[in-house]
Parts: sequence; C-alpha cells; structure tokens
Amino acid sequence: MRSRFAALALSLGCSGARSRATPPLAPTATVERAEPARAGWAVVAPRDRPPRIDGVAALSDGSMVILSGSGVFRVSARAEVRPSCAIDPDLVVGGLHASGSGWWTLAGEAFAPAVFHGGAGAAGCAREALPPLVARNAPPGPLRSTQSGADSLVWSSAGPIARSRDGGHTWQRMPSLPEVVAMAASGATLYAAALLGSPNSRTPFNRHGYDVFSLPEGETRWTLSAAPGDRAAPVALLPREEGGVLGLDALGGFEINAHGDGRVAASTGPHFARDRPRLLVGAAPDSAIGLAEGMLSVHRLSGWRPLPPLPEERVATAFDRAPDGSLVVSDGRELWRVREAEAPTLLLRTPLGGGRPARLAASGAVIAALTGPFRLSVSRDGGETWTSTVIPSEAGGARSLSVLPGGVVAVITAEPPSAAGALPTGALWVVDAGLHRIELPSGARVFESGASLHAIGDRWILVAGDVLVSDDQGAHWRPTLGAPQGRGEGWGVVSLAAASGRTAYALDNAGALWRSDDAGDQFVTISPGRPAEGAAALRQPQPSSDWLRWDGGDALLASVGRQLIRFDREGHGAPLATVRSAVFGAAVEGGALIATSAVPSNAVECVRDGEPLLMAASSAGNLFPIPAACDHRAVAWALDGDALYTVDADGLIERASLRGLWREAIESGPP
Amino acid sequence: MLVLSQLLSAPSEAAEPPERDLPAATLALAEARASYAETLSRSDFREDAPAMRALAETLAPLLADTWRRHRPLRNHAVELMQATAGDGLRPFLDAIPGMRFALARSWLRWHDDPTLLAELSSSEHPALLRVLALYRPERAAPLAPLLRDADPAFGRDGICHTALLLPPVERRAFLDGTISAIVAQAPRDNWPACIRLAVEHPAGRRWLQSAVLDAHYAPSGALRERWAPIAAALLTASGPVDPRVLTRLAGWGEHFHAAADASSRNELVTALERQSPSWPDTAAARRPAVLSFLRATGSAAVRLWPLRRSLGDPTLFRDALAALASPAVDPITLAEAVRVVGLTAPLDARSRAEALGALELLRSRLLPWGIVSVSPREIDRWHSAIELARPCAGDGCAAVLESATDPLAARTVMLGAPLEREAVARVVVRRVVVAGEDFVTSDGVVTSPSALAAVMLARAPSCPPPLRGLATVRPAIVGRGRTSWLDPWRERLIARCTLEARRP
Repeated sequence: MRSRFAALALSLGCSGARSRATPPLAPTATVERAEPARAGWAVVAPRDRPPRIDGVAALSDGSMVILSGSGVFRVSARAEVRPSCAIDPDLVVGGLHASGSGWWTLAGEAFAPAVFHGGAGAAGCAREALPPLVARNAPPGPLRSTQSGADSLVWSSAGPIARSRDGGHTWQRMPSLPEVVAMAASGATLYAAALLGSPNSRTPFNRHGYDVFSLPEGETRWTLSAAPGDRAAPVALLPREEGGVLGLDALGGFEINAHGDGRVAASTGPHFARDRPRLLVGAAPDSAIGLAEGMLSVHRLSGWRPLPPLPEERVATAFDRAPDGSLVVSDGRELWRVREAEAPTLLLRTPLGGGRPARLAASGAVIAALTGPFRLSVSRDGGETWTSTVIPSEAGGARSLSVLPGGVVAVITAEPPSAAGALPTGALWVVDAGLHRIELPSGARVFESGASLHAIGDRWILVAGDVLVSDDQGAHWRPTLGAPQGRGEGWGVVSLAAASGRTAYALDNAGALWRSDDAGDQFVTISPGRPAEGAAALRQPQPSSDWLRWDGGDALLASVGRQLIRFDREGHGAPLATVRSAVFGAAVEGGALIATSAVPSNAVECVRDGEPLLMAASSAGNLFPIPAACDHRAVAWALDGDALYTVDADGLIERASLRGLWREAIESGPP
Repeated sequence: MLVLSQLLSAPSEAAEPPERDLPAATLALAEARASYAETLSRSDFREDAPAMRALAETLAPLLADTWRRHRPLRNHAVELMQATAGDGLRPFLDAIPGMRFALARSWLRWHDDPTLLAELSSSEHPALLRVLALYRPERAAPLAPLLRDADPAFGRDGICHTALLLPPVERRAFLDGTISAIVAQAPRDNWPACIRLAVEHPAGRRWLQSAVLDAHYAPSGALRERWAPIAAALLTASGPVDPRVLTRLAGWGEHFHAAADASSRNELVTALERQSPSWPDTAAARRPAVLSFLRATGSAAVRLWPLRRSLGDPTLFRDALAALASPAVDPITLAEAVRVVGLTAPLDARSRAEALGALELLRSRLLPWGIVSVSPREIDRWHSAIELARPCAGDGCAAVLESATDPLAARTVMLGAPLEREAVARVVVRRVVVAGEDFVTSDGVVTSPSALAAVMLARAPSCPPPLRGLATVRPAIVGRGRTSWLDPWRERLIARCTLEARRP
C-alpha cells in the first residue's frame, strides 16, 4: 500500500507494520514555474478509500471489512472507509474472514504463519503467531483458511491444521491431513475434503477427485467417509443443524449425516464445462456460491442457478455472504450487493467507476480519465469529487481524451471500419454539463492514434489526418493544413501541441514540424523531417509512438519512430535518444522524461504486468529507468505544466512534479 | 432483469423476443444452461426424452436471439444450440446463414432435412452425409458413391470410419457398393478405417490376406509400410481368416519379443488401439490368437491393457501384479497397473491377498522411491474396493453403486452388476455421464480418471434403453477433437444406441 491509508493504519499501532507512508495530499494542481527538486508524489484520487479490493468479509453488524494489499479497512454500512490494520507488506496475505462482528486474516507462509484480527468496531488489530504448519517429508505447500460457524481453521496443503474457537485469539494444532481443499466444523466433528492426487504429481488421474474425512472431538486420526462416492473439487462443506455435513461441488451434492451415512443428490451440477465453478464457498445453510469466469452462481442440492452479473461486464473477484442473505461482491475495485433475481446495487464506488484506466488528461482543476473504452470520469475540483459518464458503446473505442483550457472535456471515438482497408468513422464527444456528440467533418481521418482536439482561446483545433479549426464549438470546421503537394492519403498529421500565445506546432508522419502563429489558420514548415521518399514509402502514423509535446517553455519533444528529437521554437531539431515504442514523454530542462512500453532488457525488474516504464533522458541522451516511479505502476499519464498525473491499473491517480522527478532521477542515476 | 421463468412465460407467438443487453443475455443464457442440465438429469440423461425436446423448442428463440445480437456470447449459444437443436430454430436457420453452417451437424441429427444438404457448400457434404448416416442409418446410401468419388489418399478415411459404425445391413450394403473401389488400390495406399472395413467383406479379406502372405519384408520394415492396421484388422475380423495369416502374424509377435524395435511396436500399438472399439466384435474362436499377439507387444504397451481387459485376458492380472512389483516400470504403466489389479483381481481369497499385498508394497515404496504418478489415497481406494466388492443382484445393487467410490463401483460392475435393471442402469449412467465431463487425455494413454466410465464404455455389448443415456457423455474440454480416447467409444455407443432405439 502506498496510499495515505498505510500511514493512517500505521498510526494505529499494528505490530509488524513497516512504514511505506507517503507525503500528505498536495493542494490542487497549479502550473508551477519554479524548479522543484523533488518529485513530491501525492494522491489525487481516490482520497477516501484504497483503490484496490483483494478480499471482502461481511460482519454481523452490517459493516464490512476489505483487504487491499497489506491493509485491512473497515467499511461502514454508509460506505465510510476507515483503516483498520496495516500488515507487514512483506507478508503474503490471503483469506479475510468475518467472525461475528470481528474479522481475521491469515498472513505469512507455512514456516511462520500469523493471524491478524480485529474486534467489533475497534480500530486497530492484533497479531497472533501460529505454530509452523510444516510436515516432515512434504513440501510446505500453500496456506488456506476458513471460518465455519465459531471455528476458525487454518491449514497447509502439506497437512498440518490449526483451529481457533475464540475469533483467532488462541490456536490449537489439530491432527494433520494432507491436500485439504475444504473444511467445516459441524457440532463436535470436523469434516475435510482432501484431494486424491497431489497437485504437484504428474499423474493424469484424479486432478479434481477428493475424499471426505471426519474427525470427531477428541479423536487423533481422521476417518475416511465412504458415503459421498466419487466427487470432483471445488467443494463447499456446510454444517447441518442436526449434525453431519452437506457437500456441494462441481458435480452436484451429497449429504453425510451425524452417523457417517451418506446420500448423493440426483443433481449433476453444471453440465457444460464452462459453467463449472472454479471456486465454491458455503453461504447459507443449504447453498454455496460458485465463481466461474467472473460470474457468480448459487448451488444447491436441487441444482444451480446463475446470479445476476455485475454491470458493464465487471468480473467478480471476491465475495462474502452478508447476514441479510445478500452477497457482498467485489470486482477488485468496487463493492456491490448482489441478490438473486435483482439488479446489483453499488455499495462502494471508485472515482473512475471500475475498469482499467486507458487515458488520462488534466488541465488546472479539471482531471478526466477514460476507463475501458466507454466510461469517462471527470473531476472539476482537483480530484476531490468525480462524475461519471458512459459513452454509448456504438461509438466504438476512444482514440483520444483531452481537457481544453476552458474545462471542456473532449473524447474522439472511432467505430470499426465497415470494410477492409477503410478508415474508421469518428465522432467527437464533449462533456460539460452533459454529454454531446459532435459529428466530425467529412474527410476527417481517424487513425489508430493521432486524432485529437486542442484549443487556443475559443478556437478548437482538430487533428484528424489534416488539421481543421472551428470557431463555433464544432458546428463548422475549416481545414487549414492538408497534404502538401505530391503527398496523397498516406500523409497525415500525427500530433499537435498548442504552445503559448496563439502558437501551435504540428508534427506530420514524415517527421516534418509545422508552426502556426495565428491559432492554426496557417502553418509553415519549420523542420523538413525525413527526405521525401515518395508517397508510397510514407507510413501510417504509428500507434501511440509518434507524438509531440511542448514543455511550457522553449522546447518541444517529438517522438518519430524510434527517435526522440528535441526541437527549439524555430524548428531546429537535435536527436536526444533512441527509444522504441515511446507512449508518453515531455522535455525537461536539457533532457526528457519518457514512458516506453518496450522495456529495455536491463530494466525488466521494474515492470510486472506490462505497465510502461518511466525513464529519464539526460541532456547527453543517456537513458535510465526511474525506480521510484516503478512503484507507482502507472498505465496512463497526463501533463499539465509541471504537474505529471499518473493513473495505475487500479484507478489510483497520483501527481508528481515533472521537473522534480527528472532531477531526482538524474541525481540518483549512475554517473 | 430477465430470468428464464419470465422468458418461458412469454407467448410463443411473439415474433420478436425482448431485446436484452449483454448482462441480461449472459444471465438468460446461463439460466438456460442450468435448465438444460436439470432437465437432462431429470430425463435420466436421455437427450431424446420428451422433456428434452420440449426444452429444445422453448430455448430456441432465446438462443437464436443471443446469437444474433451478442457476438461475445455466440460460442456459448452455439454450444447449447448444438446440444438441443430445437425445431424452433428453423426460422432462424433460414434467416442467419452463419448459424446454419454452425448448426448443420446437430441439426441433421434431430431433423431429417435434405434441403440443408443442398444449400450448404459441397465441401461440407461428406461431413454432413456422415452425420446423417450415423443418426439415420436408413439414409446411409449416399455414402457409397461419396467414397467412390473421394480421393483415396485424403477423402476416404472419414467415410469408412462412419461406415464402420453403421448397423450390419447398411454396412454390408455400403461394402458391396464400394469394395471394388477399395481393393483397386494396394492396401498400403488405403487408410486404416477402410482397411478395418474391408476385412468384413470376403473380397476385402482376400485382398488383405494376400497382402500379408505375399509380403517379403522383414516384420519391422513391413509394419512401417502401413501393415500395422492390416494386421490389427485381420486379427479382430469377425469373419474367417486364413490360418496361415495368423501364423505369420504370430511370427511377427515373436519378432517383437526378440527385437527391441520401439518405433514399429509403437505403430502397431497405435493401430491396435484405434481398433479398440471393434474388439468386442472379434470372433470368439480367434481370441487366443489375438491375445497372444497383444501380449507380444510387451508390458510397455500399457495402452492396450484396457483392450486386454475387455477381451478377458486371464494373464493380464499377473502382468499387472508383476508391473507393480517391478522397480523399472514407468509411472504411467504403474498407474494403469494399480487400476488393472483392482479391476481384474479374481474373487478367490488367495488372488485377493496377492493383489492387496502388491498394492501395500507399492504404497510403502511411494515416498522412498519418489513415485508421484500414483497417490497413496488412490491406492487405499483400490485396496478397499478389492476388499469390499462382491457380486450383487437385484435393485439393491443400485444402492451399492450409488454411494460406492469409483474403484468400488467399477469393480462391482466388472463382477457382474445387473445392468439390465433400470434402477441399476440409471445409477451407472448418471455416474458415468457426470464423470465423463472430467475425462483427460495424457500422451495418448487410453484411460480416464473414472474407472467406472472406462469399464462401461469399453463394455456395453448392446445399448438397452436404460443405458442409452451413456451416449450423452461429453468431454469437458470444449472443442476437443478426435484425439480424445472417448470419442471412438462414444461414437460406437451412439451407433448402437441409435440402432437399439429404432428396434420395434
């Protein structure tokens, strides 16, 4: 956790926690002209909750706890989030369980497991060390945990088991049983389902087959129950009121009574392979909740039924049953309440409305983010409050997002081309008080990348193959820069940068730089780019890797193919460095800050899930990754003067000083 | 939110079903799949039960609508369309050409629709005619001209494969019409299925026998020239075979004993394995010769053990015991040996004690020898199956099979459960169909995680109505091709069940 919640949770005095606190929130963005020496990372949004949800547990008092990274947070019924526990970030944390109005979670590995638990309404948590869950002659194996009635159970696949009957305060060792996949306590007897074959074995047999074992109170050995016949995991074991256990699994279900006699249900469970649950968790006394490919289903002895899916194709990743019978479901970012035959309702939202962020833009106090192809979230107060709009899916995918100086947010979308070789049909969507669709002028060419909207004063400047301007908010467009003599349809402007005053620069796909000093009415070439090789040799603009950015002062940074070029205001260019697939960049002092999705081989440890790598280029053209930025794992960037905004895959928006970040990198970089 | 119950209550004459967005369509489709599973279970896994056909009609508008409106759900919808092929899909078949193509095979299974053949492209004809012949043997006549026109090197094998599954009368008619085309080529230029088919015709048998008797190759060289399927076909042929041929094949068997020719042996084992669904048809008088040839392939040919088991090879139990005790045996053979010992151990006390002793020895070696292909718990289950299984009679057998572990159920069936009784058959079918979803393939080993399924599918001498549900066994991996060991057995089962279902 790198949010301020870690710092708040830390102050609660949870043992074992280490500081990863970040500086407090910075004031709303302003264009800073000073030369800050430090990056000064600050959280912009969300400010009232952690961005990610890894686990959820519903407590008996109606509140919930969520696990986010190494932090546990309490969520009230009114969706107020309070940090509850900070766990040592080096510990693997898994399995968050409600125990009455308290909660507990398992952390660490088999050699030194620990349980963190918090009481009803209490802030803070306590740590209890468990005995090592290792067995002789067996690899340690992963840890699992469950809460069954009043019994808290923790075990390792190697066999050792520990049980607590007081909400996780004290733990006792139980007789071992290897390869347990599910456990339940029913009356004075423990039941466990254990796999027939080791998951590590090369055997093709019984990858899912399991047997049910029972352990009556006081016994020292588990007894095999022959009752349920042949079964296939996953399985949920549910205690029966009259003793014994109800098992619901991938094939259907069975019951074992208190005497060990069994009955197999007539139901076969899901018939189609794709409906087979990957995970089954006991919910009500007679049902279990299954999770298959992000879709939830409720399983009973009589059969199974799907539960209403989360909207907008969200995938359920964690869930728990609330005391009122509903389910609290997380899609990894938001919390939903799901009931059978009812549309899900949102319990805890994120500023960006879930989904992986794709584009970010900022200007002054206005910040906009696109998540997925269609959801546009806008804050007009520097990230404090957000509104969300959904662009109709018929519009196709978003190709650009911009915040114009007046606070107008604009998105250019493109429907897939109707015929092979044709260009997509585009539209401009503008968000002010509402969402408006503005048709692009005929002849506009919406390439994969390069279509964008800019503004100088009241004038809009559209880049869509050619450059077009409008003085009436898109009602009428006038082309002002088109293909030069001898260049055909292969020519196009790939990027435009509106500079100070009425100056704008445009970069075409031949690498030529154009300047206009009258807000886009007339352009003149100030740098010729590559020698003309004939129209046939010109290529379409490269996705994302050809762009132009003005640094707010005297320099422009352009990415053309693999070349990063610094231009001065007169168009004198000097190659700065060679970077493949630069997706973002800005000139800083004599060098630049660049994000690339083609990570150099010497920096792979920085990138985990394909996030682009942020690198500093010194004025001499030396490139080196910025390890401090690696931790932020940004997937999209926006620049507003010196303020560099980043958003990570979870929707956490942060801000840093561009110059401070660059300076830090240069000073701490190799000589 | 629309759920299936609302959908089903909608009047059927509503031409245009309500428009659903993607989440609602996803939910409705999942509801439909749950209903399908429930109805199939209630119908004792008989896809032709009235309730199943009624469900097919009810689901048709939903499936067609989902197919048309929601591209991401098409594969899901088609899967259910292919399982149901309701008559209600007919208008949509005409309206949506792509769906017509996707559904053609299962459509022909349920509906006699000659216009479909005419409208689809000629490249699809052979496949469609084969499906038609499989489910409607009386419509098998076009197969013969199809084979005569087909390229011997490419087009014939699939047609012969289908012909092998035809009932005797139709198969004979097909052979009469095609044998001249088949024997016009040298046996080595024909594909295995046609060779297996030709052996049923006197002319074809002469053709194959002379090929074997005239062969002057060394056995290993001969086998490389596609003699393996010829040998397998002649061995398993249901008609008379020249004794000199069997002598020569026995000589080849000797060769396998003497020479460690791994590639030739592997080829022969593969040919014999492909022949496996036809084994139960082998002439009883020739079984000793067949078995001696099979045994000659050596203990490494573990893929043939299920065949030896289904032929009742009395020496298989001893071979499996020896494998369990051998320190040199490979992991896959070991796993199969545990199963074979458990299934074939005779009921007498001494044999059972030998089997239990061998399993105990293996269990004690698992950890010290680092054996991971067999789990201790699997051995324990076979141990208790050998101890507990007894021949059962009457409907009480159903209760035994219901709650038995898979090894115990499989051994009970091997010992002779009354499968002709409806209650017993229902339990067996349910267990096999449910376990059938979990069949896995591994390096061509003929096996499944369910011993009961392996026993039942390799057994089924006929398909009485209570066992007809076995034909609904469906491999778990969507889109699995002919690499699954289950498919030839399932095809044979379908062929037999279709035949049985049509008997007055």
